[in-house]
Amino acid sequence: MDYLALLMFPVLLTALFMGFPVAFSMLGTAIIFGYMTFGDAVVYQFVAKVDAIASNFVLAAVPLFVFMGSMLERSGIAERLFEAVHLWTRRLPGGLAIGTIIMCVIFAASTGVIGATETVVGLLAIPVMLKYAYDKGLISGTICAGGSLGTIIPPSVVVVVLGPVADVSVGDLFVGMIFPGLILAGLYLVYILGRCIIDKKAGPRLPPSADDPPLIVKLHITAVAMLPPVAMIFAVLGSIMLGWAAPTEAAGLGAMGAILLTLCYGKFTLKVLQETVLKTLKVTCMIMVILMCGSMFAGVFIASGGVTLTERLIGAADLSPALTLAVFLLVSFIAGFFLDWISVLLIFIPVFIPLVRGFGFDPVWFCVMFLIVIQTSYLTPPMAPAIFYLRAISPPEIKLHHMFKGVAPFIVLQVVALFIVATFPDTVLWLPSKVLGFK
Amino acid sequence: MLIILRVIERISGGTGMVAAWTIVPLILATCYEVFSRYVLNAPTIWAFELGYMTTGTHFLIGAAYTLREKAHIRIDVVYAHFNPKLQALVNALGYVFLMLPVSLWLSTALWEYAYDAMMSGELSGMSAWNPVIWPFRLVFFGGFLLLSLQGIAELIKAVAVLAGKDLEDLARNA
Repeated sequence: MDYLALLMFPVLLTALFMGFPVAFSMLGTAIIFGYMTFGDAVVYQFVAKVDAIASNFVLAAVPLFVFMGSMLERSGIAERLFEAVHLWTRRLPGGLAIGTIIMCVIFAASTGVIGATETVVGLLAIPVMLKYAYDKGLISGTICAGGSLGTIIPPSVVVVVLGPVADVSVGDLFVGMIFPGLILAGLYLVYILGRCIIDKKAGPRLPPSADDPPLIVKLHITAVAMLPPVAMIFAVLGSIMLGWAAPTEAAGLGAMGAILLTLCYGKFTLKVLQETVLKTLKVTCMIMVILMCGSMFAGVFIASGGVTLTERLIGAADLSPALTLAVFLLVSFIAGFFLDWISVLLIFIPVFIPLVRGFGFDPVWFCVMFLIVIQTSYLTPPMAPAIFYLRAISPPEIKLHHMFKGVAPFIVLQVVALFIVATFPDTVLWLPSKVLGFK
Repeated sequence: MLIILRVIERISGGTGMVAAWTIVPLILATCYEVFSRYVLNAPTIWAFELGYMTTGTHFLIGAAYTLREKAHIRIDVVYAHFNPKLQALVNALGYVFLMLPVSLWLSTALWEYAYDAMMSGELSGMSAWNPVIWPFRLVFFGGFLLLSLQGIAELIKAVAVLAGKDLEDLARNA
């Protein structure tokens, strides 16, 4: 048996850990092994991959969702939401943290960008929580975990990339991940509330303030603040669920909605637009170029017999299908400590998905579990993007050890959510079967 | 060397700016398609193909600018602790052995790909609109050519650091 294909991984990982850009590490590794196996013909395979990625209409949703998120970040929508949510939650134990998570959920449901939420919400919420002497670990955990909910709460750029790579419909995934996303957010809320009830010092209750407005004013403020995000959520998710628009078109509507909102709030200028398009370009290119190079890498791996080889190795290990699935998720979890989400996705999904299908598991269910595992990769050090974002925005009194300690319980909660979804596949599969009528 | 570096970085900057603004027609086209389908009851024949072509142009032409702006991510768990010379060594080796050979080779292959389509007048064959495909394929070629150029610029910078030059200084003079 020819083990050459399996050697691709150590070579790639060496280049990655030396710190050479992920995309080019994949590209270079792919050409070395591709040339050894196919000779000059490999370049035509790569040309076909360039064409395939550049001609994929679904992927047009990537720049559109990125634009939508970057634009919303500048719209001033977050400040209003923050105020409105806290009117309701601030008297609860841990109320500020609870409000922060709720706000993250709403924000994540109206944008598709990873981490955009975290910066915006963090800048608003950290100073307030510090002022009321919240536990620094709790603050860090709340911001990191809440801020990275954007992956699992639709719409999500990660899913737009995952769909084509796993050959699963992006629409099915968007609808299928709604309940798991809410379960995860719900676990966060229960944990924060429980912890703050037990440990009064972690998230002290705020004293009643004199300027607490009457109920009717509260309702008014909330309605005004909630209306724009609800409209965004409807434009994007609603139009997909009702079958009015493909994910790409929904993303286009969302991008337009973000521009209109920014205009309404009087924050729209040519300078803002210029900065937003440049930021969109950088994020999109980073994702798409890795995706393109990753598909070349996967193409060489598969064409030189890598999947068959993995199949045989797993067959030799004599694992049950369920156990194999668990091993796949465990491997992705461990990889998430050292690699970023897109590397984990592009390295493992092409290898795992054919086997998952072969076992007869539902690929949508597997993809949603994979998304929960990707959630953990934002929080697990040393490669923890959520902590990087937090460090960039947090005041110096929040130290790195607060952050590591603070995110740990949330990683446990993510694993709990994973077990729930693994035990009850209907959490994923029920809604799409009702709404989209597949199966 | 400095002149080459300066010229390449200018090119990447200018083309990147053009690529960035292609998002605007993409937004307009997708929204118009939805509007046209539901309100005017007349779906366009061009929105689908224009959509993927704009996206392809966006990220292929923008890749060089993204490289210049250091926005192609690295796993910097170890890299961040290297001193500047060691980082430059990683980059120099990477560009020479992993990136540039492939991107240059792909550029020539993509040129042939576009040239053949131009000679045969090949159509896209993806929808009823069915435009000629060579202009879009020329974008593939352009994207990889620009990326290769910026790769050369990055290599020059890495070699300069290895030779003991201060990059900040270089940037100021350029």
